[in-house]
Amino acid sequence: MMAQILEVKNLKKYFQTPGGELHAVDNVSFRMEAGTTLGVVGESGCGKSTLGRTVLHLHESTDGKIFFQGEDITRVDKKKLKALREDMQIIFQDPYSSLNPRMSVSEIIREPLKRKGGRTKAELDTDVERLMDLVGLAQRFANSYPHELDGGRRQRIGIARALSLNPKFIVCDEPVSALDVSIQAQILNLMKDLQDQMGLSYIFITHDLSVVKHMSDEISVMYLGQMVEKASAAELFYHPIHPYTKALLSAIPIPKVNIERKRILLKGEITSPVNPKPGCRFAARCAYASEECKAPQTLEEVEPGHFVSCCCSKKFI
Amino acid sequence: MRGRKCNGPARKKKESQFAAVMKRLKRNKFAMAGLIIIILLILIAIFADVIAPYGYAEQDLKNTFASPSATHLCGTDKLGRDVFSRLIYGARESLLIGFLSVLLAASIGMVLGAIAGYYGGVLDNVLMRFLDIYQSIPNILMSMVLATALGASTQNTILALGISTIPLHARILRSQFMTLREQEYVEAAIATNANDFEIIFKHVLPNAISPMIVQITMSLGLSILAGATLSFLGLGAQPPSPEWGTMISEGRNYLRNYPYLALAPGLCIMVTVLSFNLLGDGLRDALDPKLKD
Repeated sequence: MMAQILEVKNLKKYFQTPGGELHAVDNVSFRMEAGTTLGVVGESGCGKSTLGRTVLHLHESTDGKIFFQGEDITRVDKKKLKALREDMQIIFQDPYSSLNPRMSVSEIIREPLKRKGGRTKAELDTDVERLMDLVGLAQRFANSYPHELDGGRRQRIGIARALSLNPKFIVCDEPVSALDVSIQAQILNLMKDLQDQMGLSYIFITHDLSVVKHMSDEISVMYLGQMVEKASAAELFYHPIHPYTKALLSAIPIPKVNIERKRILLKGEITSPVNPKPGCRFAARCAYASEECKAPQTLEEVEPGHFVSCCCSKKFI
Repeated sequence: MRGRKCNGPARKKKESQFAAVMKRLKRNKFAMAGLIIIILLILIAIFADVIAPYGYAEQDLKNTFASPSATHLCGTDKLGRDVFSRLIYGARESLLIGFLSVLLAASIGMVLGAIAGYYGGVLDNVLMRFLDIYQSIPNILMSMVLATALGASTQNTILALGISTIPLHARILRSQFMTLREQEYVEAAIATNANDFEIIFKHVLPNAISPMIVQITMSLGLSILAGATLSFLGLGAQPPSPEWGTMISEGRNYLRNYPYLALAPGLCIMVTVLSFNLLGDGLRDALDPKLKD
């Protein structure tokens, strides 16, 4: 059995807004093994990014527990957090706003290492060179500024920065959704190679279903702050159970003509995450909704390794 | 553009950025004209003792109201003082008032703005509501009240102008800090263990500084103008000081017969303020790092 790298139990992150409590992440639990990738999919505003950032302590969690390598890291002091952040990193969505426009490529990559200390200037130079090679950035760009480079190269800088402290676990917050399709493939393959080389674990946040299928060992689907389904990538794609997952998967375009397919069209708008009612949050748009759905839902293992949060799941298996 | 970059030893970053800004600024003829005039003015102010043919308070009572001539380029005033020399010494006074008052306003304003914008919350609210009240008093009125209360002198003009323009600087830096601290590169810095000091001085301030430089350049012109206004009203530099506003004030009595007594310092003020504004406008474009060369 592989070592467990991350476990999240009933994690909650609420934001106080003028309209009430916004339940960005509500009662999410999962665990992941070292060296694997957990894909997190869902539409915009479903709390995917907040989940990633809360795990990294970029947001303080409201409630619940986070375990990293078996250790409870829900509440940590400054010193521990510092050590923790060397093990947990983030790659951002927007390669434009995630790089300081006043710093050159080498300065951006060097900064975390310099801050950590214990290296001479020559050692830092070697490290920066090594990291640039690792992510496939030519050395001639070392003194360039981010705005002089294209999106793919910029995202490579972001990856190099995340890798600089030699982390074990990286939250990838839609790392390719701002890139051209051709560049997307390059970056995704780079990330996969790096995972194999360095034994990294990824939480891969995206709304692009074909990307998540390519990248993930396991996929979890989020809807309005809650995890509605979690299964291995193959299982989720070929045997989705939750009505929302089914609708989501039916939206993937298939590049073939004259293909017969049944598209599940969702009705209505996504309901507000501010002060949500108990019960299934998807019920308002679900074709199968009934009285039962007004009771709070729990994520249950309906088949080995396949978790669904739907009281009617028995009907759909 | 990419070909320009090479593997050679890294140039010092500050120089290269300064060079890039200068390169872009050079393309703007008006801004360059402003810059050259300002540099000239600064040199004139520094070397006033060497350049001026006469002292600023040197009287020649036998030769009052002389017309412009080779000995007195801009003529003489009611006390026979050489107007040209007074204009040269006046540059020193006016620039001093401009630079020191802006230095005072910008340094206090930037600290307040940075704190309010970066930490936000209650602190921001308290500071900003205070500045709201502060700003509801017209600038010139506040300077006049301060100048009257403190007593009319050059130092007090600087204090009055400085204190009354603090909110302008605070507001600009605050809004910059508020936008910039939400940037993902700040989050990345937090995720790699940067402390507040590093975030403020390495990630936020360098990106907030461009609008501040523009604002400071523009307010230099405005402060010189406001300083001259106060002096003109008799609340600023006092005679025999050759401050340009004071000179206009003295010259206005003879406007009908000797218009150059008021026109010459007026022209100096106009050229100076215009130069600062042109330079400020040019800097606004030149300082944008994302602008393509």
